[in-house]
Amino acid sequence: MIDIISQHGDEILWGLLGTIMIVSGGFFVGTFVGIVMAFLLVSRQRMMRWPVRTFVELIRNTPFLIQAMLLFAAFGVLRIRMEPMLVGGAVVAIYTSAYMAEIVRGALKSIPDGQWDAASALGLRSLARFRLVIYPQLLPFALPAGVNLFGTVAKESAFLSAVSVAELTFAGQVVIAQTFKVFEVWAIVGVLYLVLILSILAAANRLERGLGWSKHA
Amino acid sequence: MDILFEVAEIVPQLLDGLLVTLAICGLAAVGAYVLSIPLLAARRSPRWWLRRPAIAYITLMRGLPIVILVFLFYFGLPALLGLGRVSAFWVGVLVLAMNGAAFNSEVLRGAIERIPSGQGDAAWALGLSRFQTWRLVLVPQFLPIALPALAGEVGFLIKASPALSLITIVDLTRRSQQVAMQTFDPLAPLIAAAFLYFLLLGSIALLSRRLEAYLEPEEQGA
Amino acid sequence: MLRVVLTFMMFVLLGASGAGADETMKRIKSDGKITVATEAAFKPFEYVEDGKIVGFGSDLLVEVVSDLGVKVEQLDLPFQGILAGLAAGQYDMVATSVAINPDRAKTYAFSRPFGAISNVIVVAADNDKVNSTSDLNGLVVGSQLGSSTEAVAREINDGLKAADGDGFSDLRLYQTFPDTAFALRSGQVDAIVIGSVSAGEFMAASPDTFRVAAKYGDPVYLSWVVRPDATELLNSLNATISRLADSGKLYEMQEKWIGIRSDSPADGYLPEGAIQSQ
Repeated sequence: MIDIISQHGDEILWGLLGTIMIVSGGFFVGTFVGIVMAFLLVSRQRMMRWPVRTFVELIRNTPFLIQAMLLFAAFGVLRIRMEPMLVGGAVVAIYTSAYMAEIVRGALKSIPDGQWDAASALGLRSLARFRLVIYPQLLPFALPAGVNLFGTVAKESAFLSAVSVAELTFAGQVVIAQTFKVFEVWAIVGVLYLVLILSILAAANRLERGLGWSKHA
Repeated sequence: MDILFEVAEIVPQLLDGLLVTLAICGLAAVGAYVLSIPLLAARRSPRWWLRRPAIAYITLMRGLPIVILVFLFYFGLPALLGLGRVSAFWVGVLVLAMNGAAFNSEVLRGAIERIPSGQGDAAWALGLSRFQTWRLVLVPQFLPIALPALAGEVGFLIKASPALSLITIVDLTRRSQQVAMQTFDPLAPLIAAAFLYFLLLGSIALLSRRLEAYLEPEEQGA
Repeated sequence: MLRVVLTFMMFVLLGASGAGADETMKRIKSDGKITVATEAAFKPFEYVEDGKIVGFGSDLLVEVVSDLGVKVEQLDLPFQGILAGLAAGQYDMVATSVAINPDRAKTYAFSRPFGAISNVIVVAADNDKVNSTSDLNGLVVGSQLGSSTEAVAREINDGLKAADGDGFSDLRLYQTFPDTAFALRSGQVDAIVIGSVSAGEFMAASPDTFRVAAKYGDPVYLSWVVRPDATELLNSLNATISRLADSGKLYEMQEKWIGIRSDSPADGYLPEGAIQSQ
């Protein structure tokens, strides 16, 4: 236990850093794309809606590992050399965007249509309408669910080890291949995930309370 | 379009893997339901020595990636506890069931807590027994909320199940990798696997939505 | 929360594997069954065809199991965890070709070798720049995670750096040899370090794609692996391999699956510091 930490601690910490970078980078990009897709999902134009709806359903109804393997295979077929960390981040971003789109769409739906009209009646332009009227109401709904999604994505990212992305689980496998100490390594890796994910979930809880979002008020 | 023919040719080869995925997830779903009842009771218990371990357990299940849980239970714990050999199949069922139970009990708890607590007292005041209170007053209210979510839970298990391909189980994911190695072409087998997962998960999601619409037709007004 | 973590840590600290002295053979006999682990992604030694594990190793396993007089359960799992799983007691034997190297021999007991392979460096067929290990400076090199070729790749890299080179720009490790070959074919890496037999398979499966650029080091022997305390099981395994070698059947099996004969020395195959007594 101690000797694994002293001899391979740095490799494991690099893995943790990899996970944090992939997950936060991918989540950031995915959130942005997801919000844009949410507006397309509530669009009145069918041609805007259905390609996004198809994409969202495809992602939400296939396992993360399959998505990861497919994206890696696709880059392979196209013969584009990519840094595995970047592809891993892209997998996270794609996954995040689909779930985020649904979260934001749900929040958008909870805002009565009349408010858009009211805001435009007040003479607000579309960006101002969004920033001043819609966004403040969206946030309490979407933020806790969004942070929860961040926790889910952090957990799913462990699957990236199977496609050789240098993240925390992969680092664990590399250390096991050298030390043959299975339980100890998975226990250390497990504790690191636990700390990472539970702090994300705790942040979600705090946000939920801090924003005064009581479930069924 | 060649790739579509390739995929269509591969799909039948993956069916035995699909069957393994279905068997494990089916058994795990049943296990998750069974385990979630005592877990829910412990989680809602006024006694701290029941409640605290339940909270700790649920926290652990929510905080660990399924991949790590699977590695720990297949490689780590048996050696640690001197259990000797364990079957990968049953480890898979157990880990998914344990994970699902934590998920289930939280769904059920959320549903129960939506029911105003005064209702239990009112039922009691009407002279209903504890069992009657549950059966006549509480269950009919929380089932419409909980049932679709629980159907969705089976989907959650299926999405987690590729983790089992990492511990010798030849499920849909692993089977597609085997075909990829045989044909020396990873893309078509993966598309075929994704297609089968999509069919499976899509129909479960559809069922869950139907169930929701059927059980809770006038929820909008609430 | 802290309590959860602490309980977890306690579990960890208490951890130790507890396998007794040749309990393995006793259990195999009493259960009437041996459980073996295979990484069925190493054509032609062990691989999956139409859902079944086949190859040189499968033929050998039939002989080993019939000599033991028991039934067999064969698990297929990724190579990187396969030796650790043996130590953890998940199965009785690793029935997958494992190259003997000094690191592994410190922890695991190896059978009499049933074949040998060379480590080779493979590049894309149209790559004419790499012709020796020294050409690997500054390139992205791939290999299989946890395999003996990973160790060889690291050794090459260290050698390049010791000779004042830059070393690889990156060493990418993949879960299987086919994954490693896919990575080379799709241009994700510039070169891979791989066993000569695997290289032959990939070149046959995907003609005009790959080229062997260089060989590295001496040939390495391939064996099956058991826990060091499973002495009786090891003896039985060795007896089977010796029987096949003496009758010449082993070499016929090599020709059938691998296409060429290779050496199966009866002794002298263990490196210095091996845990098993010969």
